[in-house]
Amino acid sequence: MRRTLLSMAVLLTAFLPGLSSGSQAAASQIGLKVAMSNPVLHADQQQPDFLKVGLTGFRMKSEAERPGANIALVLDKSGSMSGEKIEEAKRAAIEAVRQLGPRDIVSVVTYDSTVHVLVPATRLTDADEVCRQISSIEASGNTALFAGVSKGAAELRKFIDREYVNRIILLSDGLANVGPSSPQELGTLGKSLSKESISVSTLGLGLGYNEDLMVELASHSGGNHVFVERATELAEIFRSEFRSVLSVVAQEVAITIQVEPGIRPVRVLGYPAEISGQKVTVQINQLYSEQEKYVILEVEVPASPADAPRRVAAVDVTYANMLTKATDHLKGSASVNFSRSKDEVAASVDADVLKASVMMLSNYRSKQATELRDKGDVAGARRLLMENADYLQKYAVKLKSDELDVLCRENLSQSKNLDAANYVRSRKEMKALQFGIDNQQRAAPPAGK
Amino acid sequence: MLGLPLAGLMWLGGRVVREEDAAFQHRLRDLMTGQLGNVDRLVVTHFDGIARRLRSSTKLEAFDAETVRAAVRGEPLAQQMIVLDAQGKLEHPHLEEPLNQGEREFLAESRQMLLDGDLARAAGIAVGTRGRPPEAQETGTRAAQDQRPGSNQSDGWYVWYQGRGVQLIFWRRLDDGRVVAVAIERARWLADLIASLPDTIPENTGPENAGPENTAPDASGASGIGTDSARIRLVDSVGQTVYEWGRYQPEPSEVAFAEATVSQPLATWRLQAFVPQSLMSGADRSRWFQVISGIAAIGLTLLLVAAIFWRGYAQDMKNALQRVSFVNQVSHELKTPLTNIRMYADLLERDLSNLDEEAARRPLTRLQVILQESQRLSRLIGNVLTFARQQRCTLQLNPRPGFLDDIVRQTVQQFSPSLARLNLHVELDLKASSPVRVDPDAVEQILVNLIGNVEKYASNGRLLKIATRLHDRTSIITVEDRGPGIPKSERESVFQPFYRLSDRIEDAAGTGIGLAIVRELARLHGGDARIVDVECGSCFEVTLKSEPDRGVAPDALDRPHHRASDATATEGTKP
Repeated sequence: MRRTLLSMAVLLTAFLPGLSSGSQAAASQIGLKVAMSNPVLHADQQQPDFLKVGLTGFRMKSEAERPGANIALVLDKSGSMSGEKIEEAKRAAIEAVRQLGPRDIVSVVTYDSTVHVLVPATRLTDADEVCRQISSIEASGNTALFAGVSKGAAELRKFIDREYVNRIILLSDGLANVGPSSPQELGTLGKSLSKESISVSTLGLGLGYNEDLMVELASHSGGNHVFVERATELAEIFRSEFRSVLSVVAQEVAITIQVEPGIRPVRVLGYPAEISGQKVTVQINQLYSEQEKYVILEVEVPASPADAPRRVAAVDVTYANMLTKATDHLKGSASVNFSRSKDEVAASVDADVLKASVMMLSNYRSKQATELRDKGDVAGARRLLMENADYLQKYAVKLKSDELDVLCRENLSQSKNLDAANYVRSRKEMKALQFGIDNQQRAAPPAGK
Repeated sequence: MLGLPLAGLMWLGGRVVREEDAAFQHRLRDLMTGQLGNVDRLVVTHFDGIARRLRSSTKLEAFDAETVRAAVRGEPLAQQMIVLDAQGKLEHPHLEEPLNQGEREFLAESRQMLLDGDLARAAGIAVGTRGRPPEAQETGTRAAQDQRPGSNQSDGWYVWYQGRGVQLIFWRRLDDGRVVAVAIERARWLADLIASLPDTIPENTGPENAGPENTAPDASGASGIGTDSARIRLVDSVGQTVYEWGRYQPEPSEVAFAEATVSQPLATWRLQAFVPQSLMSGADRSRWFQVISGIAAIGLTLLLVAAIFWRGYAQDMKNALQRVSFVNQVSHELKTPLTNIRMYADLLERDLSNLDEEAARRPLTRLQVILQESQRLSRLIGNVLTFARQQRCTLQLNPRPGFLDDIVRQTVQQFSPSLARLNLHVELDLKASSPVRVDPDAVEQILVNLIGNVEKYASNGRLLKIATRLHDRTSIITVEDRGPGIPKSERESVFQPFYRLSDRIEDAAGTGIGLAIVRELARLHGGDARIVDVECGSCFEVTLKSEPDRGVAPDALDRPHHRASDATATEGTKP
């Protein structure tokens, strides 16, 4: 029992204040929580464990606090957009632009076979003019998506400011067919843009877009990705996306996890990460008000004797605080102990970390299922998804988690929609869901409420 | 008649248009090539900018893995950084140290290139070829090239090819001989390059909407005249479009109007310009339109002029024919009273000869005038009636044996009073003494007309020379004068009816049918009438084919002395 208490105590939840901020700023600090899924491990055997680094955005108290937004709307106006799609897109974009204020910066880039900078980056002092320009868009031609994003990024750069939220919102309903158009190329572009704190949110409209490309671009740049099945949903999606931009409280979040010698960092679930030796670095572009983003690091802990607690990793976080305009530092660490008692090991489990790890692991399996189905192995993919559903079911019950239960049902439903007729649609759903779990993407809370 | 000059004009116009078109296309191609050159300068400027930026972002305090990784994380352009030691050996990413995924992926692609020392050589490090001849390095997926190895440059581009296409590495030599190189994220330099090139500006977007910042500031040179309405395309080494702009939408199979290569480091890429037909031959079409409408206008004018002339000519012809027709009718009516006048004049002459010579002299002189003028009138009527018959194709000859010279003498005799009054010297050279079979009335009419012409038009030459001769079966009569002569170009036309050498009002009057009758009568005799060359004046030569009449003794011939049976006598029946 004493041992258990000790191990519980080792489970350190750190809310260390930033070096530069005083007590007054504590409310406007990112919350850092570092924890192990199994703080007590079985003694004398090598086993995996999961480390969670959770970051929670502080509450943005008022609209006046929010950082300025520098948004480039990159809109597909290729021939396939004509009709309801383009009209809804225009309506949604106009409505979204109306959410912004005069200090925000907006640019509008349209693309078909070529690119047109419809509204060069400008402070939104005359929203009517911008809206008038948007309403003049007419659809025709091909899909030069890469060039559209390139030009959108160039417009953002005209006013690029680390104190602003710099975001490209890309709408596309089709396959990029002019210029570079592989998911890999768009992914590396996204990664490169994220180094300038530009993130790209990708809105895939209808069933004709390339979800791999859109997901890669969003995930590497730290933007959002949404599958918009019907054009009529666009207005709500745009509203939500703009709200998310306006609720950013921290940017350029750099997480460094220095893993202790002897413990092997295996992989980071979710975000793209860089593992160099014992050092793991993860970049998260933006943290939103009152939202948690987390990183799950799978580690391999070597066999250790009982009651020999050891440190797993030291975590260091730096980020740009959008409220105080300062660069803040956070520190934390995690340790594990070892026990020969199975009960003690079982009792020590951190439900929150376990739930997050289960989600990430099931997501990993879901991606594998997508790969199998893409190779034509419908049966294999179905089997994997059903196994995944069982796995999620088990933990949903164990952890009494509605979230896992929902996910379980999603997996079951996906397993039934792998036939050719449904896969085009269900693949987009799967991809969007996988992306959402990896990036802990949630619908933004209503602004200022 | 109009078609030929118009076709000529069309051809000329076509040539002018084609030549102008070729010249225009040439100028346009020059212009577009120049524009592509401007675009290439943007590319060069862009890569110069990248080089400048990387020169400073590779200035690191140290080149250990930690610092280099941090630099890669902070540099948006960097996919990876490579550090080579002074011997060209790979220092980072070091193969024996733990690598992150990005480094592993990068090395998987570029390891061979790095181990072969291609980059080191490009950066001026003398490295062993590891037993491989340099050309063997060109195999596989890459073809390394850049600056000459061993050049003194301290930085530069290294280009290699791998999977997705051109890969760019910027290298910089450090003071200690090491080389730091940045493999540039392909998608990123592509995106930045695209961002530095112009965009498409729709036609209806005025400059007030487009705004001055619409294109990158340094792109203004390339987005100027010509490229907005055309299509400029940046094409990679395998012909894939990387980026394009401009309003014009070329057909998928359309061949580029102008092309240019891109400078280093994208030397295998090309810039293409596509120009709309409307720009190329729209002007052409409008020029064709101008030419054709010009020709049409000329054609219309010519037609109008021709129509006016034709109307005038037709009117003249109609008038003349009406005149002849009228005169023809009148002539018939005039003939009877004229015959009576002449008959009574003859009777009066006889009566006067019975009178006292002194008393009769003056009335006799006046009577001579009446007789001459009535003869003249007879001749005129004879001409008109002959012409009228010719027009109705009822002109027939009535050949009889006779002496040509006699006919000439009698006819000249007829004219002698008026010839003497005009002071015209008559010279006869008559050598047709054998009898021939001709229509004496027709021959007389021929002579009457020719002598009448001399009387009317060449009396100032003071000479009328008439010669006859027989040559084989042809009788030849020449009537020569020393008058103003007839220009060579007119020598055929004068035989046309109603043709007049001069339309001047003061020139002598005439009916315009005389020479036509002469020729027609000569041709009916199997001969012809023409004008022959003489030194001065004019000379009409009439040939008549005629059988020499051998069956009849010359004395037995009925000499055509009865002048009353003149041309009018050939008129057989009244119409």
